[in-house]
Amino acid sequence: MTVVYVPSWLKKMGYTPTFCIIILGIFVYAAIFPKTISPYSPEIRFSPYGEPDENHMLGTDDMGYDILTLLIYATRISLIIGVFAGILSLCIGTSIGIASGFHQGWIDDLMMGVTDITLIIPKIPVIILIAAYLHPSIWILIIVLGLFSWETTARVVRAKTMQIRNSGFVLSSRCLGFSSFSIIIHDIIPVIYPVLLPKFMLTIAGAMISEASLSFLGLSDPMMESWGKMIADAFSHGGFIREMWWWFLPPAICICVTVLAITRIGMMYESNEPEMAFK
Amino acid sequence: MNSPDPLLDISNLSITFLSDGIKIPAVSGFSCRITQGTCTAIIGESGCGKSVVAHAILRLLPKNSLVEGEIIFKNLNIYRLNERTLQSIRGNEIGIMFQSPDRALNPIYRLYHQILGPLDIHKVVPVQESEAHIYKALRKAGFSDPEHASRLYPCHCSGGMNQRAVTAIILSLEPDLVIADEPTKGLDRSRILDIQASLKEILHENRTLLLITHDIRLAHAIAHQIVVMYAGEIVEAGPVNAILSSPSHPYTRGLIQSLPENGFNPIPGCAPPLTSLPEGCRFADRCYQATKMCHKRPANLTHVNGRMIRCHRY
Repeated sequence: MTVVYVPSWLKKMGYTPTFCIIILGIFVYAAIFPKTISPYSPEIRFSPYGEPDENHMLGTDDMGYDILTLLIYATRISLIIGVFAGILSLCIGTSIGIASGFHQGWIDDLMMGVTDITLIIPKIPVIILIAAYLHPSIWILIIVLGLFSWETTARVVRAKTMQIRNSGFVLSSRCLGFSSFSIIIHDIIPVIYPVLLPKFMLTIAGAMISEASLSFLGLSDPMMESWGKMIADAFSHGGFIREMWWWFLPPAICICVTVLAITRIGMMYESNEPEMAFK
Repeated sequence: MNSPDPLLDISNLSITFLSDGIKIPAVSGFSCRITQGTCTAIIGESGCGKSVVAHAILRLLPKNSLVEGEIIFKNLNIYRLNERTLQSIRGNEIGIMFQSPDRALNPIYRLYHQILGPLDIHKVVPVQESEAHIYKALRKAGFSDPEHASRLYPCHCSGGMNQRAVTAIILSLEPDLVIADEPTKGLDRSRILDIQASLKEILHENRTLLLITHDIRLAHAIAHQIVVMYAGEIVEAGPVNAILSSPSHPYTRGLIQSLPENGFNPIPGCAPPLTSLPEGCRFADRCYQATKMCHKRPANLTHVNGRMIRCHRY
């Protein structure tokens, strides 16, 4: 019988989250160093509508660009939009949630009023409207996606903050002379971190999907190649009619796999919490 | 007791909580002078307002409370200070040890970090010396291996260890006044002796201790002055030996007789609810010496033989 050595960190983390981290790591690597793995430069053109062969693993598109190269270079834009929109929404949501949960009173009423209003705005139509009105660029897209996805984070953070605010250690921190600000930094944020991580990851996933939808509708930056835009191009430039699955399927699969990996990493703490408490 | 400049002077403190329009007088007419280097114990049964007094000293009461009277600490009126000055007093000059230490420690930090945090903001010792200072405080609080203890998380520790960790935090800050709120609650006798030793250590360093407890034996062992409270009022106050050896107020007498070593004779009945206090003496319904007058008129706090007593018989 062979004994397989399993490192303790892998056991602690769980196999699925580790696998997801590796997948996400590959995409992040592709986003940062696309040159090292892409077969061609994105500027080189070949004969258009090429089928997959030994030179072009995923064929070529209507302009003759290598689809695998485009796919690798598109990773960067898709991830940048997801991550930055996620960070923006996390910052807004956490600040509003903590401010209203910690101070309560009229601040809470005001902040939660704003949150409720943001919550009832139909997201995608408004985002389409704004993206169509403003000149589409990735930064506009990031800001729009970030500004419309923080409410649930704010709600969860507020509830958790209210719970921790009344706990013994916050009271004892106050007794030891900590200011409200340092209580928030040292006592509240580290304790609500297991709630923030999944929220952050879900927002990234949500932003990537929204980005894909917007790109498909033609509202993304025309100069930036993202996975959503690749599908849109395949749709509008004859990829669907010619049944060139190697054109529109890979970006779709990439979106799904990345979103699934990110979501699963976000759920890492959820599933392991009861076990980790005793480690 | 009547030294010219007490460290803490509480005069006529009354605390009322407002809850759904109902007034709950938690503490009324509490006065107490505590001099440097002494230990004052506040004893009384649960719900008599002991902890409320402790919280009031650090201005930690919730917003729905109304505080009247004066609390003077080192010639500063606590209720006239701004939040910033108050923050520099909390922990640095007045340290409070809470009941239920398991909840007073942040579950996600090691003990080392929990002691270092307050040291850092109050700048008690230079940064280079903080490590040695932390180990010293842990050793004083009764940890024989401070290096190991400082690496523990609160969930690794037993209740008694957490209690000692809380003591270590307070010891490391070296405050002038230490308020210990039920430091021996739920501990067995040997742990109580540990805590007693660390509290004595505080007194040895010429610090002042305000001990809030229902452990009369502990109060007897370390306190100099004792304040007995009942239903939000002081019923008897004075030197600890005099009061515990010859209690004058029927309630104090009842408390001492209810100790296991004194025959375990509990006082019949229970304290009146603070929302509907009796018209006369608050203890009258349970008092075996109560007269008609006791039920009609509230008793005043009077000075008798060097102690204060609230009873119509004196």
